Amino acid sequence: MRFTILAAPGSDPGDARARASAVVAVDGPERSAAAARACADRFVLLLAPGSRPLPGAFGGLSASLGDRTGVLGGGSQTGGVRAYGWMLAPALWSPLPFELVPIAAPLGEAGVEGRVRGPVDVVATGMILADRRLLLEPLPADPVAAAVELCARARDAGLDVVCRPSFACATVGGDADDRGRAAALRALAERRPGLCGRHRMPPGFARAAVDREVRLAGGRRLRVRVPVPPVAVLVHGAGAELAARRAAELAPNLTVRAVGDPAAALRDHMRVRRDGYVLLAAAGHVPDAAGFSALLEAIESAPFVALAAPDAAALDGTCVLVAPARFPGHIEAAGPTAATAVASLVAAAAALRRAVRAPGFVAADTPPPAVRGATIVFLASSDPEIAKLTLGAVVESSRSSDEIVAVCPTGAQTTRRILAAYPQIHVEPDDGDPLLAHAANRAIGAARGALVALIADDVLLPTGALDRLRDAFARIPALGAAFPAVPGAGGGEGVVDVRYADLAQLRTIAEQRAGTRAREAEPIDLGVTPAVVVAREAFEVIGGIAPAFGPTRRGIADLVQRLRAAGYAVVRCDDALVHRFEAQISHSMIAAADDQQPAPVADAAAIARGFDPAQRVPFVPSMASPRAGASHAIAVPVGNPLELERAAVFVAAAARAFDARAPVRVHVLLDGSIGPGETAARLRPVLTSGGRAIDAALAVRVERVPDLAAWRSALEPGVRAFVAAGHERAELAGLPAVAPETLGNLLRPVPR
Amino acid sequence: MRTHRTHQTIAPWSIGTPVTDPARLAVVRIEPVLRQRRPAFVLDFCVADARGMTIVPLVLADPATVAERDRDPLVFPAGMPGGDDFAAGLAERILPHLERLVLGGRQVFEHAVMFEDSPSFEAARDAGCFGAAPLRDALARLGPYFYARRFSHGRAVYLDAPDAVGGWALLRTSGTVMVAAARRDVAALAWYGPAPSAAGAPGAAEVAVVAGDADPGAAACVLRLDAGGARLAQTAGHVVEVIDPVPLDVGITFDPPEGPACRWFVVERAAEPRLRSVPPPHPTPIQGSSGRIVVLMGRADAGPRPSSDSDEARALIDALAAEGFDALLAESPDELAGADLVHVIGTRDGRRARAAVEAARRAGIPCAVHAYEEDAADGGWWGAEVARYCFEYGDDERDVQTYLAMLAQRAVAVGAARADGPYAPPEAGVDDAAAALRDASIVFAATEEEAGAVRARSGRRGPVTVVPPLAPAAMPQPIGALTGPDPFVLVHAPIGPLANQLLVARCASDAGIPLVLAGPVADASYLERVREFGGPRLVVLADEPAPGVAAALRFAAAVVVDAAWIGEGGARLAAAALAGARIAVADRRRFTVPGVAPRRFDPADATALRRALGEAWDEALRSPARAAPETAAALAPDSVVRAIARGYASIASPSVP
Repeated sequence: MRFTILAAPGSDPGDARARASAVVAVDGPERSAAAARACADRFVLLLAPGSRPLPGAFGGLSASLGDRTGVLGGGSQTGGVRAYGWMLAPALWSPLPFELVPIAAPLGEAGVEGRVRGPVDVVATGMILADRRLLLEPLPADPVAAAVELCARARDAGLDVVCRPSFACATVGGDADDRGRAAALRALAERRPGLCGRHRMPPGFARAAVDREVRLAGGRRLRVRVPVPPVAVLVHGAGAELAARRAAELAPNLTVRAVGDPAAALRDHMRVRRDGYVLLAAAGHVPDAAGFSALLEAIESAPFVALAAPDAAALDGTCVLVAPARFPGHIEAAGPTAATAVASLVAAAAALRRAVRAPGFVAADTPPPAVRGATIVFLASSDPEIAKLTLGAVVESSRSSDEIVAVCPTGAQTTRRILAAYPQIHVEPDDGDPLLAHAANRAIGAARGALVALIADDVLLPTGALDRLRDAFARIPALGAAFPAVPGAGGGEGVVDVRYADLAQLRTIAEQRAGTRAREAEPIDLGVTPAVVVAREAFEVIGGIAPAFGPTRRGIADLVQRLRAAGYAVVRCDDALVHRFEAQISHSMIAAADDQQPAPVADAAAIARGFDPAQRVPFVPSMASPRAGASHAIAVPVGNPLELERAAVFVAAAARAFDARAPVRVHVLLDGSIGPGETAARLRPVLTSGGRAIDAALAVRVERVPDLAAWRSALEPGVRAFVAAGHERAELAGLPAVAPETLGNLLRPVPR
Repeated sequence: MRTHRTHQTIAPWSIGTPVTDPARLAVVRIEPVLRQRRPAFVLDFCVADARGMTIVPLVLADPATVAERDRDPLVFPAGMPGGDDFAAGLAERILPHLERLVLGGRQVFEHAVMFEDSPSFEAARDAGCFGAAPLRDALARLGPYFYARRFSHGRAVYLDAPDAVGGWALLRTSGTVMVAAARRDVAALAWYGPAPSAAGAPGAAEVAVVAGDADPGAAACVLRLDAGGARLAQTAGHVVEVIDPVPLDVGITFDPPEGPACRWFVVERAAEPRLRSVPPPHPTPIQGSSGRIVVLMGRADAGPRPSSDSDEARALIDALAAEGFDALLAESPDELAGADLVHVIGTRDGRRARAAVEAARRAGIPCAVHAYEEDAADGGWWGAEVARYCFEYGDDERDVQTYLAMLAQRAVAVGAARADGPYAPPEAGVDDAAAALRDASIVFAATEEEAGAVRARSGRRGPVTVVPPLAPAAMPQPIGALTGPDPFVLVHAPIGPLANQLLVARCASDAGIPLVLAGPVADASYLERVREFGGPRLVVLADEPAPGVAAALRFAAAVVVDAAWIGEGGARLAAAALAGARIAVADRRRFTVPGVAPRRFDPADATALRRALGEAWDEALRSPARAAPETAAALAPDSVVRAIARGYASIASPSVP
């Protein structure tokens, strides 16, 4: 097979000369067209400026050229990247009806050539073999527009446009001076309305990857190529088994099931809102590979698309692709049939401002969500003066319809007197947990408001901050939690560009930010400050605060991670600036506990895995593992950080040896500088480290005990008392010492 | 309220009593556009009641934000009346419609949403008025008037051409504008406002925009528009094409490579700016030298994108030829055969420079290198890479300000480009450049400081000769039709990230200083950003001006700015100094010439740049300069060429004297 070469300035035909019947130097569209008209070969090789065929580019080429070959392109190599062409993605909001999405890969990426081989929307520009008849009229001067036009001409003529990756050339990089390209592409789109939105990835590429829009911090969005997330195909109706077998080839990361009850199966697959898709299809409507690829592309056309179907009629459950992670956890595919289940999702999508991509589908208008009432859960664990200051601000920020619940240790008498000054405040005392997790969870579980504001008493809310946080829920779809901006905080809610000398200045800055950054929110994956407004429906899905952590930074980070994994957005509201007192000033037990924990980090993989409802944290401890009455009490006095670390080792051993059913209780007795919050924060994760729920773990009481002798004498009669080895005290003299390694012997009968 | 200061065409305006009650919203026009090469919406709001009408054009909206609502989706133009409540109220009314568009999954086309009957809007739409008609139409109509901005500042302007009322709306903030009675289109008057009528003839107008055979009177500057869309047959004057806009990235431009022309006009007469006196011609060369000298540019794109380095090379070749040498410019390091001496100009592309030096060594040919050493890895490449992101990353004015403040603190990082350590992209070939400097037979540096830097960076032990930059020279040509008659600030360099024009344009716009950017386009998207942020007094002369035009620009410019992250030698700065222009130069640049005290600034610091620009501008207007005698002596081309020739002689083979 011989061809004529049209060589642009700076190109080098190299090996191609041997196969050429002529080499014509051309410069510009008119000359190229004239040269094509003058040549006699069926095929013409177009070499772009600076291009040179790579060795082996023409090996086996003849076998690739059939009667229907119109345009053949390959890999155009520049630097470390090889480009294979473009796909024409639909661009709904652009003056151009399509967007050129490059198909490119780093040089040497394994398997890429197999994936890009085959039909392609537009071939790469470096080296193109084209049917001479397609070149008789001048192409646009812009090289990219010329390639688009050439490929369109081929399709119009009923010819194929294919990518053969080994047909490769080295070329110079695309010229950054691409003036005129937009105009040329617009002219092309006006001339060829049929170009609009073909959006065909090479089949191999489409099977392996999707283009997804991601939002970067600060708001810029870009599209990145990611491996196709897992797909579950649920085939229903007559012939489902057979159709399911056929569907197995649709994607690499695919599970297929024939289901008798599609609605239930859909619900089951949506139980965990992980990153992935569920294709629900009747047996006769399972899409082919191209149809499936089109659905994937439709659902990934924007991050707010939640459902895609080939047409509006298919939304009755005959063929619909669902992105479960784009529905927050409280949304269910409700209804007895596939049609009703999908209809419930479609209705929810409209309310959540999620898009449904199905030609012919028109979403119903939904009224904008109203600003919702709140239950404010005030966590009082700081010095009373600080609590008084911040409580005043919280009460001032509340609305008359809001419910305020103050959570505090049972014994915090001064704080309770402060709280009593506000008759509208309901007090929920916590009698055993220095981190207040149990009482906070009770308060959250019983909340009447549609929003639950969790506000620690070391956080000062300037005027209007709470209102702006709740306003965010009326604005941002699927919002699970809204944090204020917290100067210096370690999570995504932290801001660094705010400096103030005192609280008066803070209030001034907060007021300014309320104007300059009005309605501005930054999505975050990590939050650590116990000042957050959470949608009650989200709390109901994920449960309360993990008792193992309490509302410490780790506990709040865990809460945020569960929210994100359950499909909820979490944001920092930049128009709501608050102040958090330093732990040294507030003496907050919760803040002090933070020091005992590693700094949390966002876990994108955990979020992508989705939230399993089995991990839901009950608001009230379950009765599944009732605590046994204690017959053995082990005292672990702790006076300093060193002893706390030793106690952690002991408690870890005890937690391995016993669980909640054992008649053993560990009493961590604080008789020194360590506070109960820090101690609880250090020991709780130890108790749950094996994945055991805190309620099922060994009972550990953390108590501040200034007088160990009094504690000893107050022990219930009949309880055998021990002291942890290495923690002995004079007041506990005579109690048998028990070492971690001998804990297993503790319950064995002892000869008296 | 989020605001932007981009694409400044006509700011929001009112007719009669301003209407700032969102309940009186009459019409919103919505158009999909390309903003920074991504789809966006432009919205024009028309709010009206019985007492008046307020038009807010060019409100920008990012479609994704309409759905995600992580911030206000609408970004209003600077000068938005009514404050935050008005903006929020307008947004509340149109957002449900925008949501339907974004979520609906259908192609969006330009359309208007009517909230109230608005005959004014409909008539204006039919008449192609800005704010009512599709931008492609409205901008093309305003094109000639947009061009006329460069002539109209502080002058009496007479308009007798189609769309004259729109022209009045565009030009009224810069001059005193009158519209011929016959051009006072009723629909346009109702839309733009009461354009003053010229009683009859153009009278004392200094600038006239006329159509067909209308009389421009004695105006010093005349633009004559096409009649009925046909290109004017007339050849007298400077023909300007109005490019069919692709809003917003390609708005009103007159740059033919941007697209097909949709209309034409001619600058029939234009007053020339005042040029400072031209220095006497070069002294006669001594002549008598011989030998073949091959000059090679140290960057491969110097041919299509000439800059200061290529000016210096061209000047050198001409001067060497005058001295009797056979001097020629080679395209690539492969073309050194037959040379008696190779002279590499710059080391921007280190691999290319090294290849040339090594090829010369292999062939036994002495090799000279003009170093242009400014340690680009120490912040130059970083700035070139990250600065544009400060304009592209956010999409409102506060974002831009925030990122520019971060840039000044060198707190912006993009990928590997960080300011807290050396950074250069692999293609810069930094080590190769150092090797080229080390191994060359002789290195020319512009200053002692640069010479020291060459030695320190490359470990060179051979000669480094200090030679001032060789300034290009040409007889000035007329430029009035391009720049207008007023003084301006000039940046003459390839338009792209390396030369930092975007920051200069932003600062000049902030300061209200007219700016002329001239040079080949290195990066079209960068040029789009420059136009986006450059404000109303920006003139872009895309593509390299002819030497005579470049010379005239230098002689007319009040200030010449070089804010480049990575410079290409000092030849153009030297020419500007010889032309008597004030100079503002990035503190990275090693430019020291007797008698010249340039304003120096940090090219990352917009505040510093604005201050330097303002001070140089004020100084230039207050006391127009001319080159000091010591400057002329130091930069005298003949002495520079002879110094270079002496350098040649020190390394030359026997055939080069």
